[in-house]
Amino acid sequence: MQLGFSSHLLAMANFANTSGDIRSIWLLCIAMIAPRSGLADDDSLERLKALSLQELTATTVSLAVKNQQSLQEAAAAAYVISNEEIRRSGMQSIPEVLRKVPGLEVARVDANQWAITSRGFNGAFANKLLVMVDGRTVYDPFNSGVYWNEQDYPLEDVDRIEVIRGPGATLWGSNAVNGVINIVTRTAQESRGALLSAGTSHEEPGFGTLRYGGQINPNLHYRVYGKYNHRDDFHFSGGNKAADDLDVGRAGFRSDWTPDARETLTLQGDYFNGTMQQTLTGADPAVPAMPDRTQKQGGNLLLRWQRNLADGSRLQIRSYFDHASRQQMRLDHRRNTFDFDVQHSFRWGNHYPTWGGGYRFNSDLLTQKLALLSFEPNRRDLHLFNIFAQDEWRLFGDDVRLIYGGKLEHNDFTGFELQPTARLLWNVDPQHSLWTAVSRAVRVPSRVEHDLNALYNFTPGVTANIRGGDSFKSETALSYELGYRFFPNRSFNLDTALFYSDYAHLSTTEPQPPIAVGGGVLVPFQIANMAEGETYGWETSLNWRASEIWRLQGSYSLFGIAIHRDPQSLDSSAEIAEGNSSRHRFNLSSYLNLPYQLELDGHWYYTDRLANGVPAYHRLDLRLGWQPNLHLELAAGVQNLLDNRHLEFIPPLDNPVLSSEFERNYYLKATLRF
Amino acid sequence: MVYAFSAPVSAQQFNETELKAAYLYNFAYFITWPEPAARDFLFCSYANTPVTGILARLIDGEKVHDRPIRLLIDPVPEQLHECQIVFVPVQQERVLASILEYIRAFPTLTVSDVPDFEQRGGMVRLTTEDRRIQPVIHLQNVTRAKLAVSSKLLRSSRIAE
Repeated sequence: MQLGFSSHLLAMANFANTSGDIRSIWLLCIAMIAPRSGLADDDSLERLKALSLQELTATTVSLAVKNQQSLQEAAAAAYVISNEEIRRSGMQSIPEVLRKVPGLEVARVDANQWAITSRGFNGAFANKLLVMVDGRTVYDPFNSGVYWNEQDYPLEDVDRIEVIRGPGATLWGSNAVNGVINIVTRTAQESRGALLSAGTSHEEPGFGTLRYGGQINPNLHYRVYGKYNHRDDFHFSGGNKAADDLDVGRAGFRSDWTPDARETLTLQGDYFNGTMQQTLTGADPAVPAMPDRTQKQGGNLLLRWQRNLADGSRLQIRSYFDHASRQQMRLDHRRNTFDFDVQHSFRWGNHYPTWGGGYRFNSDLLTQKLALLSFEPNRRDLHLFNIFAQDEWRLFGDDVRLIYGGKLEHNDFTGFELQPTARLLWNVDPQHSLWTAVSRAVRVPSRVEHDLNALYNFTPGVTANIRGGDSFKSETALSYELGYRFFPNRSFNLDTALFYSDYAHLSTTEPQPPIAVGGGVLVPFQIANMAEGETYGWETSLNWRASEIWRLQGSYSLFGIAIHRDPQSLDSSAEIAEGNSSRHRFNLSSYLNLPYQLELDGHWYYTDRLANGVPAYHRLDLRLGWQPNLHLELAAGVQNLLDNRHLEFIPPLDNPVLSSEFERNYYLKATLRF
Repeated sequence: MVYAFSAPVSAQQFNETELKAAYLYNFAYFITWPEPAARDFLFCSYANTPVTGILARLIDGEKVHDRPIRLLIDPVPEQLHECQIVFVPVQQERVLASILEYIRAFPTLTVSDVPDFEQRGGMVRLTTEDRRIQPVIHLQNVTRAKLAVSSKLLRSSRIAE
């Protein structure tokens, strides 16, 4: 895999001697104290100035600033949403922007919750998709899901969103079973000046962002931002108002220090605080629905150091701290995470290896608030270690690339997990390329699956007791992929992928023999691994610049899934994931530049029915933008023009959230930049 | 381990930003403009890209055919037609269409790293492929603006149809 976040594709150029690994660690230590040369000195400026055109063309880039490889070079189903595509999508939140990714399943659960996954197994906390923001994981080990309503950023400062469908575990670790999303923000230097954006919509009566980016000296830039969102309640299908509003404020900063061209040090952090509501199905039949308010806050601090070493290899050290706290009616949840990673890439002949390791510490406190819901223990420290190595072997003059490697991880629940991959890319000619891959990935148990102890009153006198346990194993997947890309000319390209994945040890909830307790019956349910399954599909996307002023993008995806219970399994809902993904999906986007600095954009999304009871829906978004000058941008638009509102997802039985419907939404937005 | 690969020890490594700035600097010498109206040779670029800072240092004190080079950062639209070279970095893609519109009638060389720049009416795209930076020149768009590209630059570039 080769897209940007893989720092393994780094750019390495001229080297003389790469005698490897241990030595490089020493080099690192030396590099940190030794005086260094770079563009900071006039000498190298003169050398740069003196390069002839021929030499310029022949010079290889020492450090790819963006790490953004051309699409043609990725041996994976990769897709990138650019800053400009985000701006012209008309979307105001990161999860909504993800609708643009071919093959990604994005469904609104209610006004502030989303079910998002790649290649199946969708849910409000879909557990097989790894999500990161600037390399910091936002996949929560509590329930193996992503709290999408906590993930936000001023969209103007999001440089790109990189998505890999399919396994990415060898580089990114456990839980990257069906896909990896990395949200990459701009460097401080790329977001200079003041930005003020504010808007209103039917869905969000008020949203606004304030950002300022400046420089302390030519090598040290910073930005600070604040953002506020208020999202209104949606409605249920019957027309009643749901209780699912959201009020969140956030603030953050990023600073990038580039003492010379070969080194960058980034320090960034964010903090958010707010409340959200959801509507739960009532435990008591007399009260069918009850609002549940969560007070949320969280923050993170991340430090990243990248340096090109003297031998042409590249080293990255990253460390972060992340805190989240959620106070709910049913549970108070606090978590602290500390992470430290080292990655080193170098070149050895035709080989471009990347290797590294990391350590993550998770500490949580789950405070019981209801007699019916508890975790044993309620406080847990988890340690996660990993080492990985991957090599890209370039053959036949770079036209064939074999990428192979593996990651070995150790977690406290299941011990060692090995996640290998082998990928082959063949650039047949400048217009065609083919790739294929086989990978193994695992989804490690969450805190819920390991330690949950919950009671549900089924009927009077019958109580279910759902328990996690130490016997719960990791879910595993073995995936086979085949891809083809066609670039007949610069104006048109087509990218298509076929996949088949084999899953084992899928999670089930197994009823145990009932126990008579007092006057009633207690039925224990044990969370177990008694199902397996297959998924297959075809994802294809095309991009066509029809003229100087008009661009079209389209995609189609086909998806199939089958889940099989073990013969001994008694879980009647084991196959539920079959009903949570649609078979067909497509979208079409049009970007048109009109005279007078006007932009007219249209986006059409179609999602086939879900077998669990969600009808198929079309969604049409239109946007009219106007940028009379460099400083002012006005946009007006409508989302979901074709219907008043529609349902997109029904959470499975184990999630008591009542889903509400996505409504037609008009918006106005003004952005000022100075 | 073995010496599997060797390169001149003196080989200097440059990053993408530096190489893009170096190309921009070189374009001043390998493009011919119609007779100039102003004395200074004017580069225009935007503050949101690190290329601008490197370019500023490269052109400091330099001259093109006895014309002192100046750099204008974040030009307002009315200033754009005075530029001999405008660099529109990908970070400014949102105003690309209007920048091209403003200078359509003027002999200004447009350079960018936006992926489909030449299809949108731009002249020179700086592409990063396989760790090398190369100019892609759209000759029709260049000659429409009455600019001439030296054969030396053409030889080091890719030509877009």
